[in-house]
Amino acid sequence: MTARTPGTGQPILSMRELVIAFDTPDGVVEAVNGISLDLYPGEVLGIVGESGSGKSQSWMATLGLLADNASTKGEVVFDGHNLLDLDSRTLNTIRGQRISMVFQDPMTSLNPYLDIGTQMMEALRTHDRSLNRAEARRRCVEMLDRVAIPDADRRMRQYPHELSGGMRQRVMIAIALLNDPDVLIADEPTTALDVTIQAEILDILTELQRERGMAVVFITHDLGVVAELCSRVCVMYAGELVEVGPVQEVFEDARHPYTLSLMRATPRATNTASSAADDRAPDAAEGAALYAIPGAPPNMRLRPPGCAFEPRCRCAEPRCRSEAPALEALSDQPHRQKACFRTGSSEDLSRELLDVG
Amino acid sequence: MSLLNRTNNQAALEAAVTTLQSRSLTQLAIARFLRNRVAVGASIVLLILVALAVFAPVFELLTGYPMEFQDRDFYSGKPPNWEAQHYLGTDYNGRDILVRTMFGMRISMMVALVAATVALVIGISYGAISGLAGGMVDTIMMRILDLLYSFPLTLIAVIALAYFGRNIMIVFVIIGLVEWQLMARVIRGQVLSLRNAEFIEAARATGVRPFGILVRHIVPNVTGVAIVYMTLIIPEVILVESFLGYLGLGVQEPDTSLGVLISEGANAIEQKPWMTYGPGIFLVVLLMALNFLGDGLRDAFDPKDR
Amino acid sequence: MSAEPLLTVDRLSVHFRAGGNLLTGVSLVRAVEGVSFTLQQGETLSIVGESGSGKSTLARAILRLVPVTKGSVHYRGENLVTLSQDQMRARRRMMQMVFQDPIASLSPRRTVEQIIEEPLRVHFPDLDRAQRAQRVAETMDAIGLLPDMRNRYPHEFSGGQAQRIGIARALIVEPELLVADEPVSALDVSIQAQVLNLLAEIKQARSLSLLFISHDLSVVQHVSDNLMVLYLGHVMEVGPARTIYSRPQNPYTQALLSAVPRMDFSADRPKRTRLTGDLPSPTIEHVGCPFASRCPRAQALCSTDKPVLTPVDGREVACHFPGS
Repeated sequence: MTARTPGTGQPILSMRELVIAFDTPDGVVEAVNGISLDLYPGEVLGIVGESGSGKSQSWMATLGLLADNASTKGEVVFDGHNLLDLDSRTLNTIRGQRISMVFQDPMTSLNPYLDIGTQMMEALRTHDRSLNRAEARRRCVEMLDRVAIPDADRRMRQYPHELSGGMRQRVMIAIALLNDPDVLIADEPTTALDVTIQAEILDILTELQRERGMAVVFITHDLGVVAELCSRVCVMYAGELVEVGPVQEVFEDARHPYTLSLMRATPRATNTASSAADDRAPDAAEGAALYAIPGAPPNMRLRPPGCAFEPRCRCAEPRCRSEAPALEALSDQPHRQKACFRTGSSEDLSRELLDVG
Repeated sequence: MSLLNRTNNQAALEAAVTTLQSRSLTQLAIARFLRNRVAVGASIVLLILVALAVFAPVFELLTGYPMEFQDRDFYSGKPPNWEAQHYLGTDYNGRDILVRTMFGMRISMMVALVAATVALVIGISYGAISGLAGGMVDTIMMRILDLLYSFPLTLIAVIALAYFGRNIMIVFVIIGLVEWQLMARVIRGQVLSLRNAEFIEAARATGVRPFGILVRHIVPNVTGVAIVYMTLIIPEVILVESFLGYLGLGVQEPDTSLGVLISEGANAIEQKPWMTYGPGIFLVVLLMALNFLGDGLRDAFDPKDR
Repeated sequence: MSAEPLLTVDRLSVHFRAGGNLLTGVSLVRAVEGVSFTLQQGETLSIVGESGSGKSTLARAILRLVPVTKGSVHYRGENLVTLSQDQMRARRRMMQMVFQDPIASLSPRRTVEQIIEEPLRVHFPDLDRAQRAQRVAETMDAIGLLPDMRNRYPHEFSGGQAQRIGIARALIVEPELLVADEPVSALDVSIQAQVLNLLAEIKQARSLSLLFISHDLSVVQHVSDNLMVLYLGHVMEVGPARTIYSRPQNPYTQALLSAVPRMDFSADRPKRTRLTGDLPSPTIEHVGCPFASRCPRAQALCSTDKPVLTPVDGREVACHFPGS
């Protein structure tokens, strides 16, 4: 199990007031509306949100992978540089070397025309030309072994279509880790995989993270995965951060109505005999209606002046409509943050959310 | 907590549903097309050329020379002479090239339109049937297509010339043999991909009859592609017609086409280059405009860009 | 309880040809292998499995959307497999389907009104335009769709709204059986909850029987009366959902349940059952248990003898060594 201590020391990567806007034929869409967060060395940070929350775009910006019609404001500070301002040459020394990324779809992330070995060695030798082929190959085979791909030597000569989805994703992880990066960004890496394969991939990631001590950013919509894998979590909604804190605390003592709504809307499979957690989670009882958050996420072209979640929030106050709450530390637990004007315990807010008939 | 709790839902729904006017896919495509400046420019050029062709008789008035009129003072091909109002010069028979080019363009366009439509109809039918039938029928139909594709155009044209002489029907037949194949393949491809689309499966699950599926679900989703390829087939047809005209097939005197004009001029291209330039430039511009238009339409209809 | 079941599937197999050429020969994909189960009126049966389990193919085979190789599907006593497509068409009114990709399942060049009314034109051809419009309006209202959506096109909607349109289309002819193929897999969590609640309400209001296909065990737990677990086209375990969730007997079911990520921070959370190896090719004809190659409890017998569904502890399980 991952260490669940919150990040300590100096952050390895910081986002400061990051804004991402897309220029579309129908107008400017603000996908990310000024987020600030820190990533600490050695931690596993979960980024949770639904589609449109901006969770993927904010990290694509880090590596300069945004579409052409995107414009950014703010900073992403890594190793003293603002990654958003870097020229592509310098950025390329960081990409794949110090910050690596794994994507959702293993089918399309690998080049179908090159064998695995070639693609892996390319990743290695792009960043270290002095490496000779034999040595590079050895390291690749070693890494494939490390991600539990059987018969690694033979796999080097295989093509992506000869591997299953789970194996392809493991190859992607292997490639990402070849250069021993400081930060690994995983953008929904298991969403397209079966649940048993997902479990294996998560186990591998946990082991590798513990072994190498790199910081991992895990982007997902699945709260269960975050609970199992991550030490800290950021919850995003409509391009903004709404709640940040250590995973267990955020999930057991959520302070933002969206976080609470999300948890109540998530169906949870319980193996009732073997899990003691059941007694603490009455909403997980089968048959109980899920809390369906009314309405839908906002149109990003017509951002309301107040809180983005307000139209769907049962706990909303009049001021929520006109003023947007800033992300601030909780008064009783300063290491956690929320963007909400309401104060009150998790139970009180829950009751209000579910109460109105 | 009921989903049907309208007051909450309504407000949020209204915020979410686009406040823009409902736009069908066709309207979206038109909007995309209009943003493409090259395509719009090409459309304008094309419209101008069509207008010129339609109003070809105007040029007879403008220059004072009817199409068949042989100007004695300008026999055996004279260079452009603005005072005499032979703006593009004359051909061997003293006929004004500008006027002949305009009429030639008219014929070329008419032939192109008719032949392309024939190619379209045959092509869509063949492609749709092949794609929908699938299995052995599809295989056989495609192999027939491959076979036809391998017939050399020149050979057929020469044989036809030997047999039938100069006859405009040859042009249609030959073009028909060649040009519908692209449409058939394209439509078949589109039908094949549609067959596996989830909304087609949904229609089957509903109980819609195969004919209903064809008419209500497949055809509307195929017309876009058909239009695009139509605009790409037309330039080819014009070229084929020009080629046939060059060979001496096709339209009868005194009618002429761009191809015939170019072929007449090509014989004397070193001494009397203007005979080729006139019709040649118009042909090139016409073909380029059609190609850019076709590209623009294809980009506009691209389903990935939804 | 002992009433005649609405749907009886008996030893259903679906094999289809895949790839292959003159050299390698054509291979047979065994998508569904000898599946049997019953569905009572008003029951929700969830069919659960990962990729390659054959669950989607099974759903389509029941509705005769893909050809059946062996076995029978009895609906109200009539074997659907023996019917011609023409005869089947009339039966379709009673069994409708909701699809996985909400927007792709709606015809892109037709308006919402045209989409929802199409089943009426097929099954109630005598209705005139006004009557159809009336029924469409009523159904849209019941599903919670705003009237001004009628003239819009599928691409203008979000996934959740599109799925509701799909549900409206399925329900307008008042079927008895609804087959939902991963109806919420493509939707965000908060929208997923809306659609699941909607399905539950409709089912209740219209006394529907529901066949719910999904790979998501968490979702399934919320909707099911009974549960059937598939692996490589074979039934591994089937019975009351509550029973299976609390005391799974088949090692595959156990692995599946233990793999689901949980928000459980207690120190005594159950260890995950690790599966080894990869999913075998679907073209293999299994002499023994299909799960033998990856099962943590597999023994020699498992590779030679195919286990049969046997009643154990209130449900049926196909395993030589069942047990928690």
